[in-house]
Amino acid sequence: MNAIEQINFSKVRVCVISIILKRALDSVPTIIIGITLTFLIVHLAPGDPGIRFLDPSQPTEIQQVIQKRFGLNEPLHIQYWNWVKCVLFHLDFGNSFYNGKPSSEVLRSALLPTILLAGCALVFALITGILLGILAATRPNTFTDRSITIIMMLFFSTPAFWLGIMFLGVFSIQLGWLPSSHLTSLYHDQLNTIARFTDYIQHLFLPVLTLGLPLAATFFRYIRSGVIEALRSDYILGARARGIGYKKILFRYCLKNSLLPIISLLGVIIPALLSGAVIVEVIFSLPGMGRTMVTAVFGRDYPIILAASTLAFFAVVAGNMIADITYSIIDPRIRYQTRKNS
Amino acid sequence: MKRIFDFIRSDKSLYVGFILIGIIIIFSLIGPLLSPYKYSSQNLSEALQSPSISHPLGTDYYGRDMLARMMHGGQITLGIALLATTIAILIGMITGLISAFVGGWIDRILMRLVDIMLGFPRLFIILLVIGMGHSSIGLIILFLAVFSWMEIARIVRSEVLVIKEQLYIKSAEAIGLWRRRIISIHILPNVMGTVIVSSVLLISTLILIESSISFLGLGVQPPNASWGTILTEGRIDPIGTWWISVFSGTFIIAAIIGFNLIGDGLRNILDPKFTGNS
Amino acid sequence: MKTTHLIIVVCLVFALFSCDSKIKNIKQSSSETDTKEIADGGTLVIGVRSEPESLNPLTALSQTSRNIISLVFRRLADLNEDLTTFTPQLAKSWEFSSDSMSLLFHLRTDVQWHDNKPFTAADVVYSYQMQVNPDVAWDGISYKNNIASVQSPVDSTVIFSFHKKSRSMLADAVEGYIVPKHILEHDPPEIMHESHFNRNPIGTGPFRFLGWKDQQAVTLIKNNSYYETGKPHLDRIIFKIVPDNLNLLTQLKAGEVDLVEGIYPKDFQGIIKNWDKGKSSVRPISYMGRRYDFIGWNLIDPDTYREAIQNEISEIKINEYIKPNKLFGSQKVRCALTMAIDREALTNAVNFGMALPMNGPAPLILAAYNEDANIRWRYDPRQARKLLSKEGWIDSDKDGILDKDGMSFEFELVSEAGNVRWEQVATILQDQLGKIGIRVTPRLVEPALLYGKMLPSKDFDAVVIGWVVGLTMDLAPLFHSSSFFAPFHFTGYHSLRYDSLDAASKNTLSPKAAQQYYNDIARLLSYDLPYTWLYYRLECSAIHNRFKNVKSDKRGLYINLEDWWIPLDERNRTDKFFEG
Repeated sequence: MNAIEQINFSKVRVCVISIILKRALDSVPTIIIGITLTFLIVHLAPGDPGIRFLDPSQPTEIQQVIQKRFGLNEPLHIQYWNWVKCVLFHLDFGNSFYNGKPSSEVLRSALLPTILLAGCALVFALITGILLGILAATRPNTFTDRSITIIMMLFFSTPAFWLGIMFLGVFSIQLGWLPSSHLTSLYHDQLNTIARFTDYIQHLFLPVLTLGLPLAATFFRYIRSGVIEALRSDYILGARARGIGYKKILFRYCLKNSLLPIISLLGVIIPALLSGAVIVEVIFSLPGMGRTMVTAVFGRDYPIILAASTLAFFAVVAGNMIADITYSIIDPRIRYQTRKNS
Repeated sequence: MKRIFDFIRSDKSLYVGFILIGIIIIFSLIGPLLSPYKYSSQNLSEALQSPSISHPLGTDYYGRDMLARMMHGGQITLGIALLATTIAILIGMITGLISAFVGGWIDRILMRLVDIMLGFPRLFIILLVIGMGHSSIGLIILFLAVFSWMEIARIVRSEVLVIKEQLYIKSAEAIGLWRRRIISIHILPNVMGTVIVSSVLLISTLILIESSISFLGLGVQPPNASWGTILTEGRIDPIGTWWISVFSGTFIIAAIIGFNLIGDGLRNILDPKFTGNS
Repeated sequence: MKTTHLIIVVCLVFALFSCDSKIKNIKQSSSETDTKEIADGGTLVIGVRSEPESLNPLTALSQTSRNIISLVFRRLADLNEDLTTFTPQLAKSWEFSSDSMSLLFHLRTDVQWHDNKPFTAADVVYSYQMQVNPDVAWDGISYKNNIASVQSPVDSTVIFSFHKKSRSMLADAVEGYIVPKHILEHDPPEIMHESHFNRNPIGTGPFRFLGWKDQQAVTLIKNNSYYETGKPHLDRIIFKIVPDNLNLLTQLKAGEVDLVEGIYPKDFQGIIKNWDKGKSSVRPISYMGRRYDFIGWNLIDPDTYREAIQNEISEIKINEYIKPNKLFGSQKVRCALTMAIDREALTNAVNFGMALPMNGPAPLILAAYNEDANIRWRYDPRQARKLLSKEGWIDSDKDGILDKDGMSFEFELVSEAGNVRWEQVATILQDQLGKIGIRVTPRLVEPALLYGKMLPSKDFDAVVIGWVVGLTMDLAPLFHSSSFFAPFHFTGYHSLRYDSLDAASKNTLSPKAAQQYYNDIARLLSYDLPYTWLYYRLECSAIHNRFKNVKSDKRGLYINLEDWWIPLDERNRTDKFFEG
């Protein structure tokens, strides 16, 4: 890079950093307002966490003890203030109403399986989408291309849970090829390392497929159109004229360009993946955030709901921030804008 | 009329999509008038029959004719999706326009509002909807709309921002034309293309979301049924009562594909860069 | 590149499917077990739908938790099948004092806690103190109301002293599991519900707690120093948590899960069919359970009830302040509604034959049940319509809906969302009542709202719901005036005659007289119809048939797990896996 470019580049870098800082600062009131609203809604929703199990012989005094124990008989703003204090100063989200475990512990053990599922689904979707997208893009409008496109369109339009139910029905119930629930077998701990790995794969196969196929279809569309377009561009024609190998062109140039919109989408895809995992977890009876949240909501387990909502807010805000930032770095139009404005 | 026809025929995706959706709409609206069964008439002695001549799509747990229920379900599902989309578009467009046009810290606040709405735990809100009010279809539509306008707002905002910078707008401003004229004559037509594409795709997304909500048992209440609730009924025994999940699933997929095709087709026409077709 | 990619995929797929993921055991065994010699070992996998919340008998509430607790802990004595006599457990024997106001228990001296500390009388006394401690808020606390004190003046004996004589003194004393004092006394009672003990229980039962994998499984293993020598036979019990019903049944059929309770009737029919054909090794078990479903009518007007609460009216003045419900306040209307419902068709549609008709308040499982004391209303829609018109409900505006004084007969029938059976009942009722001109709108409400707000504040019209019954006949929390404002008395039923019959049944010391009172109560309630009783459910469970000596009765399926065993030649893959 010559001197002028270097100076411009560092200006861009400063701009990007200032964007990040600005967005971060903007996010703080967002998160605060969002969490406060959630707190209000959670507590104002009709229904009492105290009465969970129906037992006519339970005397009313017990209800009151439960109320006191959960701090539910204090006025709302005091409850709010107590909660905020605990969270800010001790990072303590309280204990679950249901079983008394610390909320952070509950969330931690629930988050891991969900991230595992979502992560595997993402990797699967990327690989499948990219490979199939390139395959289709290099043979546009042939039978291969058309059939793959149609199949992908089908997966794109299928509700994840219908896919899951069908997979479960056919492969688990009818054919019995794959296990129908949980992440591991009962005797997982007794197995050696390789067997444990296979155990995980067997259990994750259908859920990852269910969650990943619709996503793969999305990636497929982007890759396919991106690669087709890139192949037609002057830049590529020039490279071909210069004699650079076809495969090299394909992967180093076309692919990189088509990946860009996907990368900027990632910020939005990841929260969507996590919420899609909820449904898949319910269908396949997997441990994870899905089951935890549904149980917590139905049982009005306030601490868990609030902790999970806080987490969700952070994730969404962070995801959006990353998406916007990467997009502004990538898209020259907006970068020039920012350079002008800063 | 012919121009509309030609327009539809111009793109293959658009064509197929329109046909698909057209069939579904006719099925849902006209079908009930032709069917001898009502979607809600129970007949316990005929419960859970597989497809036969008298019940082409079988019966459900209460002996209700599945074909009639599919038709009614189509009205409900499509109606919910269409109405919710309309409301979401309205909110989204207004927000996007204001945000882009006025700019400044109103823009920042509105975008933060978008962030907050996106971060809300949807599951919990709909529980509230079911719990507090009476779970009516109206409330479901409202809920879906309120949680869908954000994307449209963003798209509109970024489109308008780009357009705003273009010279001829600046010159119009310089001349001193009223803002409103600028919006309606110059900006809106350019934005509408993207908005229409997004709204069609939103319809298919909302059909998906509505089915997911019903899957959790929180959607449309009996005896009303959307395709999503019927699908959930079939889930109890997907192999033994296969006709319940298979048919409702097929309809949902067909509708989603149809709207996706229309959306793709429109996008092909409006933004040729995006196609893969030579 | 493409071909190699394809080959890799194919290899992976092949590797996956060739792994034996199915544990099959289709070998049918002969049903007679007496001829085989009892062998130790084997694993029982119980499939449950929800995770236990606590394994501490003092804080556990859910059924799954209670099941696990019944294997880890013991009581002083255990109820027998006749529901009146007891078998010794931690107590060897007992006797009443001469004035029958106190009960002396002789405790076993050969019992150890799972951490090898000895079990003593101090544990019994401590358990009682915790059971009645208001901070612990044990849900069985009302059983101990009649107990004045629990003391242990002499080693290995405990004396329970009572306030007054009653027929349930022994039952009251032995209710509740014994917990270890030496572990729990370290924490103050207020934090009992968060105690480490809840997830790491130590008891005196045949099975010890081994581990708890979050959201996945709870594992128990054999207690080698159990006081009944030679028992238990099984090595391991795993409670596998599978919330989805379909998954659970699939695993049952595939042999991954051995025992499932609470099977939906329709699925149960399938299991019976397969078993009868000899095609499967899953044996169906059904017995009279503890649940019944009913329609609860709101007998009072919710608005005046709300005012009464605000003005803190006492129970005595109920009739002055609280107005009867505009629709269901009249007994004749409730009677007509009951007659308009084809309960038999409804029961069969929802339960596929796995339920018995129920016409009155006495649970069929109890000795107090006497069908002749129930007034039975037959299904007769025409008569129902006549009754309604006599009460002034006619279709004056010809819109198909009955009306009276300008008000239509329409109401909202609420039920718990997610409960398939109740949803189906509500839907069927809507149709059946619609046929006589009543517009019913089912409304499914999530549990926290239903039980937390709507029912306690009597803010509803009618509800489809069910109870799990205890093993004693006590309907007071449901119908007695003293519990009028309590959450479970949501019908607002108020009858002085009921109150006096209830008191009489509790105060008499003669079982025969008590039965008379129970009959009178049944007659009264089946006439007044605060509930329209629908059906009494049979429990549907299934177990893999390699388990021998499995007994079940009204008390459930967990009554003799320490006697279950698996013949050596029928051990399956899971059994063998854990043996090493």
